[in-house]
Amino acid sequence: MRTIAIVLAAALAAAAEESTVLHIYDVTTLTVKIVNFKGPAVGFTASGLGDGSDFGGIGIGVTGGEEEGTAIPGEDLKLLISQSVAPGTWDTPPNSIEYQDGSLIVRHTPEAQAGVKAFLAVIRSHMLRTVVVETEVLDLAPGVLDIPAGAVLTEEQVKAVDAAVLDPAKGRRVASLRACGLNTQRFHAAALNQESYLRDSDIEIAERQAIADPVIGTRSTGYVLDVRPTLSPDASLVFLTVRFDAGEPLATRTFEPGGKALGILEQPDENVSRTRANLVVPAGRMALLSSSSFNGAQPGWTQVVLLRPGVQADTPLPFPDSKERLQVRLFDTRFILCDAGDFPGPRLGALIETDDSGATGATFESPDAEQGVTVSSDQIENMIKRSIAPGSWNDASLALSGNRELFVFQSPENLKLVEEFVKRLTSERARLVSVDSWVLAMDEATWRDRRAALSGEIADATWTDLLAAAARGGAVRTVGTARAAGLNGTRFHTARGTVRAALFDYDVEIAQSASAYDPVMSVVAEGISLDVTPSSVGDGGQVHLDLRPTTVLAGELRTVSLQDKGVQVQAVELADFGVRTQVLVDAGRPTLVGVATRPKGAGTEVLVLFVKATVIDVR
Amino acid sequence: MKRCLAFLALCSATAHAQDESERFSRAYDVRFLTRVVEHFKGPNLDMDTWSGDGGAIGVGIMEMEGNSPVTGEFLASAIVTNFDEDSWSDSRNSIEYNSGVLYVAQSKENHEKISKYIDMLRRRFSRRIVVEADVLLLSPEAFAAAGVLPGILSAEQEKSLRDAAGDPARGKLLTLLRTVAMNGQRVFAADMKETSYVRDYDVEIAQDAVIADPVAGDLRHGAVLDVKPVLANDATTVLMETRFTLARPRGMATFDMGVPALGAIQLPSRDVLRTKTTLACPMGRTALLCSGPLAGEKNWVAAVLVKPTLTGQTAGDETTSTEKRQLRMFDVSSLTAEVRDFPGPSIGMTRWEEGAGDPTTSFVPPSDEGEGMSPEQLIDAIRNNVARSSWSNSRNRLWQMGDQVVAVQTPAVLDEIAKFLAIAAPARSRLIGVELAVVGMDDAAWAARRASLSGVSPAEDALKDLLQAAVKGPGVRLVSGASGVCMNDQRFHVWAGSDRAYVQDMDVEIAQGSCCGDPVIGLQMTGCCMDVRPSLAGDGKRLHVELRPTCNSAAEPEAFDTKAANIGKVQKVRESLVKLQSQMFVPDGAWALAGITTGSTGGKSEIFATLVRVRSMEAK
Repeated sequence: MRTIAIVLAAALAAAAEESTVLHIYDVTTLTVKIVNFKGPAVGFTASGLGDGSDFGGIGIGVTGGEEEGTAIPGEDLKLLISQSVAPGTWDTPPNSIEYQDGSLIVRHTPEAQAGVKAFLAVIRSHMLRTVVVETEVLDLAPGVLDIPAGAVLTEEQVKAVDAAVLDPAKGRRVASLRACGLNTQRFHAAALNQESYLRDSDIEIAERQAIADPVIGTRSTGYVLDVRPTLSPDASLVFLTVRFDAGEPLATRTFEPGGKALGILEQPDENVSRTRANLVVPAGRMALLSSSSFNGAQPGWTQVVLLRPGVQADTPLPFPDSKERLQVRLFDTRFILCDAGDFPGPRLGALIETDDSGATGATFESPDAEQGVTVSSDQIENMIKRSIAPGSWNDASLALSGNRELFVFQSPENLKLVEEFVKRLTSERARLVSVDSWVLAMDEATWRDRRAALSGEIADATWTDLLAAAARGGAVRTVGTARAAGLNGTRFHTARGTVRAALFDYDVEIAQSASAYDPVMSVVAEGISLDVTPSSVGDGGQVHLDLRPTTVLAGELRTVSLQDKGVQVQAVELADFGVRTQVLVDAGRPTLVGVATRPKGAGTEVLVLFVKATVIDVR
Repeated sequence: MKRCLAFLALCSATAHAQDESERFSRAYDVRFLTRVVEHFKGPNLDMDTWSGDGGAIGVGIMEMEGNSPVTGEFLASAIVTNFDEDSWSDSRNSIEYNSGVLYVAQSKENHEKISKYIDMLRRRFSRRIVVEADVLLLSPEAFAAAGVLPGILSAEQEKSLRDAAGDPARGKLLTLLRTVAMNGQRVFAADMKETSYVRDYDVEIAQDAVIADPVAGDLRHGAVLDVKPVLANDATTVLMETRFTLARPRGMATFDMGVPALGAIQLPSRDVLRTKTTLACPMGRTALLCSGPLAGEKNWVAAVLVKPTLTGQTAGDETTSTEKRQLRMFDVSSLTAEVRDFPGPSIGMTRWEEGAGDPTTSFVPPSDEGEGMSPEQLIDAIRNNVARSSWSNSRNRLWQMGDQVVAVQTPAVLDEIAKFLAIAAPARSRLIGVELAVVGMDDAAWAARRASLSGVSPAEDALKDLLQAAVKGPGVRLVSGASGVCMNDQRFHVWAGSDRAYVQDMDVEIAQGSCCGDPVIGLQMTGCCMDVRPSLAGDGKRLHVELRPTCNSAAEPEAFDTKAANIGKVQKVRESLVKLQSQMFVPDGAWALAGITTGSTGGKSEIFATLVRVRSMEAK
C-alpha cells in the first residue's frame, strides 16, 4: 500500500509539472541600477590633486557615479507579482518564481504566465520614463520678464522672451543646455573649455640653492546643468534639485613676483554665477530658476536662467482588477520622501589659500547640500495607518521598499483612500518661496531724501520710482540684483560675480646660505550672493526669512613692492556688505533689511539692501 | 527456496557469459583532453605603457593560466557511469587515470564503446575558432553610403564596405589580422611597429653638479586584436570578448625646455581607434565591431570587421548509453562566461605619473566584473526548475567541471536539462549596436533649429536632418562620433581620437649647490569616447541606455616660458569638452537627442547636440 501511495504521488507530481510551463522574463530594465552622476566643477582647480572637480574627468580615474539605487529591487518585483497574479499558488510545487541577475524565472500554468506577462507590461508602462530638463540662459533688458523666481511662464511670456532674444536691444541667448535622465537620478550636461596655467610656485631650498617648482592648475569655464528630478505619482509635477554653474573666461594676466628663484605666474580672471535650489515645476512648463545682475555693462539688464522639465513616457496602463478581498498596490512616494537639502551660499571677498593643495576659486565653492527638510518613510506609514481604516491594519499590511515605493495590501476601498492621501501629501510639498534682492547705491543726499519712505512699509509708487531711478542711473544705481526660489523651508542661493587670482602674501624658505620667497596664492571674489532660508507663515501672508546675503565690491589690484630683493605683492580695497539676520516680511512687499556705507571719491556712497518674498503654490 | 536457487542460477549464467567474451587491458592517451589550455593576453598599445614589459611580443609575460577541458578522474567516472556500470564491481575490470593516460581493463564490447566515447570527446574539444579582423579606412561619404550599423552585416553590406575599400578614391585596407583559438581560450594577433624615442629625462643631482639621464621610450603603433571566443552549445554562434586597438603615428615633435642641463625631448602623437567589448556572432558571418574617424587621415572613418569561423570535425552525438541513469556533460561556457564591463578611458588632460605603480590605472580602467550567471547559480536554477523532486535521490547528481555542467540522471531528465539550458539566458543571444554623434551648430543654425530640437521627444526626422546638414555644412558640422557593438546590458566603450605627449609640468631636484627642473610628461587624449551601457527594456520597443560620452578637441600645446631659473619652458594646453552623464530610454533603431550643451570654439559660441542611436538584434 505504501509503495502504491509513493508511486501515485510521484505520478501526480509528474503530471502537475507537465501542466506547467517555464518562462524566463528579461526584467533587467525594471531592476536597473540607477547611477547618480555628479556634475563637473567650474572655476580654478589644481590639476589632478584633490581638486574637488571629482566628476571623474581630467584624467583622474574612471568616469563613474555614486549613490547607486535600483528602479525596483528584484525581490520586490517577485513579491508584487506573486501577490497580484494567481495569489496563493506560488508555494505549491511545481509552481515557482525566482529572480536572478535581471531575469525572472517563472514556472506556472499558461494562464498564470499570461497574467505575469500582462502585469510586467503594466509595471513597465509606469516605470519606463525619461525626464528631460532643458535650460536657457538669457540676458534680458529691463521689463522683458518681470516675474518671481519659481514662477511658471505663461505662453505669452514665453513668446515675449523668444522675441526679445532675437532683438539685440532687448535680449540675447547666452547658452542652451539639455540633459536627460531617469526619475530620481542625478545627471548632468556640460560643455567646458579647459586650459592649463601656471598657478603657483613651490619653493625647494638647499644649503646654497633655491628653485621654484611650478604648480600647474586647470581653469574650467563653461556651463554645467546638474539636476535630479523626482516625479509626482501622476508625473504632472517635477521636483528638481538643481545645481547650475556658469563661468565665462576673462583675460589671463601674468604677474612677475620678482625675486631670484621665482619666474612668472599666470592669474586668470573669470565671471562666474551659480544657483543651487530645490523647486517644483509642472511637467512641460517653463519656469524661472534665477536671475541676477552685477556691475553689468548694460544697466538694468539681468541674466536669467529658465528651466523646462518634461517627461517621456507611455500612458500608464491600469493595474489589473482582482476579485481578492485584499489586493496589492504600488504607490510612488518618492516625491514626498525625496531629500530637499540645504545649499549654503559661497563665500565672497579676499580669500587666502591655506595649503598648496587647496583650490583657488574656493570662493565660489560652498559646502554641498546639508540635510534639509525631509519627511521620513516611518512618518508616512504612521500617518496612513492612523488616518485610514486604523482598525484594519492587523489584517492588511503596509511596507516601504528600498526605493521608497509603498506596497499596500488592503481592500479596494481603502486602497482608493490611500491613493487620495498620497495625492494630498504630494500637493502640500509643491510650495515654493521666491526671494528677490536688490543692492542699490545712492549718494548721501539721495539717501536722506528717500530714507523715511523706504523704512517700514514701502508704498508701491515709492518702490516703482526707486527702481526707475536705478535703471536710469545717476543718483541711484543698481549694484546688483539676485532672484531665486526654493522649496518652502529649505536653504538656497544664487550668486554672481567675478573671481580674480591674486598674490597677497609670501611664506619664506631659508637655509644656511640661501633664502627665497614662496608665493601664497589668493583669490578675490566680488559679486552678489543671495543666501536665504524662507518659510511661509500661516496662510502665506507673511514669510520668515533667515538671511545671509553678501555683496562685495573690489577695486583694481595694485602692485606693491616690498623692500627686500625687489619682490612684489598685490593689494586690493574691498567693500564687504553683508547681513546676517532673521526677519518676518509681508509676502509680495519689498522690505529694507540693511544699509552700509563706503567711501566713494571725496564723499560717501550708501549701499541699501532690499528683499521681497513671494509664496507660490505650484499646480 | 526455489526462488533463491533460480536467482543464483541467473547470476552464475551472467558471469559465465562475461567470462566467455574477450577481456583485455588497453591504455588510452587522453592528454589532449586533460592538458591545460593557456591564455595569451595581447600587447598593449597605450602610449603610457613605457615600462618595457607591457606585453611586448616575445617576452612571455602575457601567458595566463587556464583550465583543462576535463580531468582524468572525471573521465574515469563518466566511463564507469555510462558503460555497463554493474560490470566495474567485478575485480577483473578496472579503470585508472595516470599522467594523461587512461588504463582500462574491460570486455572487448565495452572497449569499443569506450573508444567511441573518447573519440567523441576528442572531436568536441579539438574544435578551433578562427577569428579574422579587417581594418578598413573609408571616406565619410563611402561609409555613410554603405548604410551599415554596428553589428551583424548582411552579405550586401559587407560587399559594399569591401568594394569601397578596394577603390583608392573611397577607401583602403589598413591591415588584416587573423588568429586561432580553442574554445574559451584568449589569444591575439598583432601587426605592430616599434620606434624608440627620447621620452623623458631623469635628473641626477649632486652637490655641485647636475646631469639629465635620458629615458628612452618605446612607441608602438599598428593594430592588435585580442579575443577570447566561447562557442555556444550548438556551435552555431560564438561569444567573443574582444579588445581591439589601432594606433597610427601622426608625428614626433621635438621640444626644447631651454634649460642647459636638459636636452630636447621627443613628443609623439598618434591617431587611435580602440574598443573593448563582447559580441555574439553567428559562425561564418561578419560583424562591424566598431568605427570612428581618424583626424590624421582627414577624418576618414576606420571600420573594423570581424568574422569567426569554426574548424575541426563535428562533435557528433553523445555515445548512446543504455543505462537507466547516464552521465552527460553540458557545455555551459557561453552561459557562464562573464560578459565583462569595460569602462571607457577618461580623456582630457592627464597627468602621467612616473613610477606610480600600474601606469595604466588612470588611463585604462580595468574591466569591471560585469554580469554573468555563475556555475553555482546555474546549478541551483537547474535543481529548482527541472525535476525538482528528483534531486533528493542521492543517485541523481549535478556538479560543475570547468566550463561544463555534469549531470547524472535519467535520460528524460537529461533532455529536460538540455531544453532548460537552451533558454536559460535569453540575454546572451542579443546584440546591441550603438552609434554616437556630436554635432556643432553656430548661433544662426541653432536659432533656426531650436524649436524642432526642443521638447521631450524631438522628431527623428529633425535629428536626421541635422546629421545630414552636418555633412554638408555650413553652420553645422560633425564634431565627432563613434560606433560599436556589445551584448545586452554590457558596459563597453569605443574611443576614436588622438593621443599626444606633452611637457605638462616640472618637478625639481635640488642639492647643496645645484638645482634643476625635472620634466613631467603628460598625455593629452582627445576625440570621442563613447562609454555606454545599453539594455533591452523588455517591451520590444525601447532600450535603456546608461550614457557617459565625452568629446573633446584641443589645439596644439603652446610653449610657455616660466622664466624661473633652471625651470625653463613647459607646455600649456587648451581643450573644449562636451560631457554628458545620464540614463534614458530611447526607441529601438531610431536617433534620439541625449543632450544639448553650449561651448565655444575659437572664441565663438557653438551649440553641441549629442545624438545617440541604439539597435538591438538577434545574434543569428
